[in-house]
Amino acid sequence: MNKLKYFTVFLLLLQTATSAQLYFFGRNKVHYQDFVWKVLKTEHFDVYYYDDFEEMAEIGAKYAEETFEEYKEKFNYIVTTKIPLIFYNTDIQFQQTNTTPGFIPEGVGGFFEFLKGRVVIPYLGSLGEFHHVIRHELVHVFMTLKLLRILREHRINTDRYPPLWFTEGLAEYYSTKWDTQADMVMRDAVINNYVVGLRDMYKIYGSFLMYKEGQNLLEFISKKYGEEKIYYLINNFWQFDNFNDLMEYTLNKKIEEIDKEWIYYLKQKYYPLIGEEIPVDNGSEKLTGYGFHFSPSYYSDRKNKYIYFIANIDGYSSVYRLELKQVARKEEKPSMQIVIRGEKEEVFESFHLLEPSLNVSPKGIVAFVTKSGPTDAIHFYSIDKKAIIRTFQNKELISLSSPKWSADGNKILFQSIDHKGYSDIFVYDFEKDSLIRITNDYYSDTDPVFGKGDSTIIFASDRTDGIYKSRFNLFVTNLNNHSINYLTYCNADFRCPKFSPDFSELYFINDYDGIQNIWKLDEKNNEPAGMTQVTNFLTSIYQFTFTNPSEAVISAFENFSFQLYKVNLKQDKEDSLSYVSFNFDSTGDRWNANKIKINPKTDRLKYENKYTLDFAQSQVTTDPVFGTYGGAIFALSDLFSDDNFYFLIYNTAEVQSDFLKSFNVAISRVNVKNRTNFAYGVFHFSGRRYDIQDSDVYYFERSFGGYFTLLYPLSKFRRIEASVSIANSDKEVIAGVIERKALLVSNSLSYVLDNSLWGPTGPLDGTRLRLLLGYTSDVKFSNVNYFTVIADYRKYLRLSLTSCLAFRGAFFYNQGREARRYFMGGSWDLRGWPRWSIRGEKMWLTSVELRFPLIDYFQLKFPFVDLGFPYIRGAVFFDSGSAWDTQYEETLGSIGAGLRFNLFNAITLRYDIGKTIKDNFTKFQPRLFYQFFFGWDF
Amino acid sequence: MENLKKVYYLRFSNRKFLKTLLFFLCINIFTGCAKDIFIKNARYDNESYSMFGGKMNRTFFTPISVSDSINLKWTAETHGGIFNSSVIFQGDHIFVADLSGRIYAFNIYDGKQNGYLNFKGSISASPVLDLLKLIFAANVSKEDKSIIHNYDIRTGKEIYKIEIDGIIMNDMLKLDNGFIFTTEQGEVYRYNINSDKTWEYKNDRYIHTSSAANNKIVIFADDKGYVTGLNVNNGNLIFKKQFDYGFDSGFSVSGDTAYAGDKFGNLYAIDLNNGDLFWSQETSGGIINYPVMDDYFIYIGNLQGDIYKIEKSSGKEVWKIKTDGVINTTPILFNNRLIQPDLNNKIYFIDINSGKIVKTMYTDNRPTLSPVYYNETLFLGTDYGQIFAYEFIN
Repeated sequence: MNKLKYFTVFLLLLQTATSAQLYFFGRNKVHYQDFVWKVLKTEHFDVYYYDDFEEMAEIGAKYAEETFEEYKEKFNYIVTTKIPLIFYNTDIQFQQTNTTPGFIPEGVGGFFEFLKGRVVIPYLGSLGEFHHVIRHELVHVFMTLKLLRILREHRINTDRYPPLWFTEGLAEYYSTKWDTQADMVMRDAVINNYVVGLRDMYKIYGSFLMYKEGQNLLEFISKKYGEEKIYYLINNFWQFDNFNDLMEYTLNKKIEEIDKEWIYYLKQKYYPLIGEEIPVDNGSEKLTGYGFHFSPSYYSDRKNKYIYFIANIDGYSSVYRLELKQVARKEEKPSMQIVIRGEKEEVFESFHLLEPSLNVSPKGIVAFVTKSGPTDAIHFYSIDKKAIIRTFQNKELISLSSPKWSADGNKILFQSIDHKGYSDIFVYDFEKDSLIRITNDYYSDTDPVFGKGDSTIIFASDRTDGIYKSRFNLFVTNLNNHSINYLTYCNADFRCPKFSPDFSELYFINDYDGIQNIWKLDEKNNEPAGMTQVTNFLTSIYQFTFTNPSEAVISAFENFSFQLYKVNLKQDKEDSLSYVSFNFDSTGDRWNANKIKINPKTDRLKYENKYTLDFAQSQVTTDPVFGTYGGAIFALSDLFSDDNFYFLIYNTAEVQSDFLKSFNVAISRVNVKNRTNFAYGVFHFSGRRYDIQDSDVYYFERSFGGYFTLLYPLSKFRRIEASVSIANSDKEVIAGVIERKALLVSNSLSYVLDNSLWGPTGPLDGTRLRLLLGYTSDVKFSNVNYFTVIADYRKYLRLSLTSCLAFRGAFFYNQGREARRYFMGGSWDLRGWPRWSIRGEKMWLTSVELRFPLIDYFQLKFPFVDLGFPYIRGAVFFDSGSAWDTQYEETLGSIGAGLRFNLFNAITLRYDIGKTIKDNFTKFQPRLFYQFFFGWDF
Repeated sequence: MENLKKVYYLRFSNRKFLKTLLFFLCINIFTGCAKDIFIKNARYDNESYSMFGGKMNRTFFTPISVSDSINLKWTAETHGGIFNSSVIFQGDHIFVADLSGRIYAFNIYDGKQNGYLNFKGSISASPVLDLLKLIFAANVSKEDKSIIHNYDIRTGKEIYKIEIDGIIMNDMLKLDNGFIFTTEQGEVYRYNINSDKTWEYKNDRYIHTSSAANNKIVIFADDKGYVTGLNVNNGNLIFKKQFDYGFDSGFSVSGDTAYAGDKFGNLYAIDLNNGDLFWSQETSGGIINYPVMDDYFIYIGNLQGDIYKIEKSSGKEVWKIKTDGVINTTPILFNNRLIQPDLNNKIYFIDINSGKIVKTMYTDNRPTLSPVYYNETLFLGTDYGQIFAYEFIN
């Protein structure tokens, strides 16, 4: 359960980091490409694609139409409007989509977005996976629309939705078969006793485990109660508010009994495996602790032996090094050194953890893949020079993986996905700085390795035909005649081919026995004849590297984590391991993917913006003092949400005569299609104001004008913002006595940096910075004229996985006529002081805060309901600051401790206790202050 | 002074506003209340169409020839949807139940509403009529029970109601003196018209088929593929035979043969006396509606959108039509035409001899009401309770 806890912490870190948006700080979603969208019109879909992805789009459209025909029967429902199906040709470009406002983490295979009914899918390099994701998302479409219809037909509120475990489990259950990965997760969960029961599914909300448990539970229901029960769980949905009640009704059993039966079914299925297969932890020596560890690659200099690998231990993926000699002394805890710190700078923007991404050459060059701007790049790091000596990046090759050096260290093989969506093999000559493409078709070719003598290349590919069609077998291509031949042929997916250090034997990973283990190739008369199993682990091996002919370091999954283990490859007697012979007679010709047939003149079109309503809300309120107010807000955007229009209108008249002049209207356009984002708009605001930045009086103000803002992201972490606004402002502080007219022109230029990593209540690591210069003047009456400087710097020093020391230093400066005042005080800045009570045209603030975990999960169990409160965090802080207009007055401060509590990952509640310090830090307040508020940590 | 004016104005304005609000609320409350079904001129000897399918053999056959031209007479609307069931008639009135728990009476000539009854929950199955008694089952929401209501349409009064354990989704079968219904959980009941339970049969498996009967035997099937025949009069088991797949389709009966389709698209002809299989015919997709038939042929559609004409005696396929939709609603059969709703917003007029679609009628919503012909009017219906009355133009 401990590993699950760490994993959940990681997930939360990632989730919160990815929800950061463009506010005061925040990371940037950089639109490197200007996608020129095209439309493929099929019977039930409008398929959107760009660049050279046409062939894949036609294949995807065919998959979608076939799936539609299948699901209309399965769901007894038909979608009568065309479904927008948006394809991105790689996950890297998918991450630029605006169809969802947040950041999309690595590994998201697609989504169905309800607002515009869009299905958005990246091509991940394999037609099999493409097919699966299309089927998965279309389950969401059919289920959601069918439920909506059922509820509407029964005149029941449509805000009801099944739990996520069911919707995702159903999508997996209908879209794919129970596969190796699903089995790996479930057998690991059962053996290591972390299966989460039906009633506690919320504890693993959104995790991969939840997807697979949901799928498995539906498999179980289908087997035990009948396939039709799945359909009736949807069809009877209107009948109950609570999904557990629905399950009890449909299966005619109590939830507790269903849960018990399911857990028993899992134990029956997986417990016997312990007698047949070995848990990774028992059959090897564990080299690493918590976190995720992938792509191990062995390197030895004259003195020491090392494993270089990619890991995510603290929230940032990085390149690490482990010294093997050190590990040999078991009493010592293995220590790792960071070689390249990733995901803090744009050059190493993100790693692809689950893909093979690192390989060390015999010459001591570490080749590793990261996303770097618009595409992936292979970086070459010299172990001797301790520096990056070259970076390979090609704008035609979007996604890269599986780097593998030749024996002499002069060439490197890799797999790449190009603009067509083709996943092919390439050779980069490191000495000549030249590139050769080896394969060029829509089959998914991956994990290349040079054969003996570097004249052949062995790779895994789904080009397998015959009885094992589309399985990933190993193929060999001759670089002289470009022929491609089968090296293996069986009902398994092969990965990670590797020769033993003496080049005598070829080892690889495959899932022939239901889980990914290491096997080796057997030859007869120099021809491949079969394969022998080398390891017999209970859960999967992902990658491995030889450290000597009989020993390897593997990256394997166990107890819900990916760790490195040292394993002896010769420990099992040969006669106790499986042998599988290959029968190449049934291979058949290469398979061809079916494409949709369309009329190119009428069904293949260029996309033109069509704007549809995103939301509309109107409100009329009646107040006994202020009378009746009314207003509305609505937004329009195009299909890709690149171009957005926002409209706001409301009236604040308190008497009839004020009605016409009290209209407040704002119209804005925000365009985020290209790398340079812009927004402009016009506004008219009129009514009584209480501006907290000014003195404590209400006044009447009418202002109208327009604004224009530009935002240019330099990278995911840095951006420049510029804005200009012009506003005619008429203020009546006291009607007919104190009035101020101004035609205000404001300009500002900002630089923003944010590479922070968030925990449940705020940042835990990284840096945030905003520098702003501004100038505001009244160009007509010269009543207002001031300039602005803002510098806000925050640094987070990580102390452990979930604790940090946070610093903040901020300086706000306005100088000139009628300059705006800043304010502080309260839970967000100078704690202990009344909220926003400290005001001035100039202001500084510093904070130091120790953030640490207090309670990871606090549960209250009542007879009728359980209440759980995750992630209660503690803080000890010291703040100081001051604000003044013309004359510096005094330095104020506070010291104290507090609790933070993340509520539904939407808001953080904060409670602080401490003492304020006043009189230039000479006097503590006599009593303690107690402050309760909400808001993220600074 | 200006402030005083403001206060006065605000007070006045708020009082006026509240009055207006109250007025509209009252109007809404009064007009929003249900007007009970009360048909003063209802007569015992009026013509009627008293259950889904008209008769207890549920053949859905009307032995007249019709044209392909129809003219809309009127439309009416219910509050909730009507899903794969239909309307019934008594004299000048059409009765229809909806999924929001309401049952309506409309005038068949102009579609004007003549009252409705409102119940908590949902009414999934078509009501049945016994002379002037309207019998229907309301499923209680969030509970595993239903209430059978017996309502006198002439007096506008409920005669009795019976609480039943289980949900009634399948269509009720009206007999000469009483009615038979099944619950989703597998109970089969016969009640007489005076609310006395005549017999009860417990099936161990869920039932999603609607039953049919001849004078002696009532037949139904369950989710696990068991087809059961019971004595109509005493509920005694006559046969129980297991077939390969579960059933969702309704049964139709012709003589001593019952016809139904299973979830995998097999259409069966079953001996009503002993459950033996006469023949089976494979189709391309799951069958959930009733087979309709005349003297010699059966017409059946499936969820893949294919429609078949099959020989009644042998099970041999005569013709097949492939559509791009989903056929889940029982059609109506005439001497020359099959009028078949398709969930894909279409209604087909099919020449039963040639197997050609001679006319496709496009609808704004999904057709879900099984078409009925009554009093020279064709009644069709779509999603969200839309009912349309058409007359044929010769």
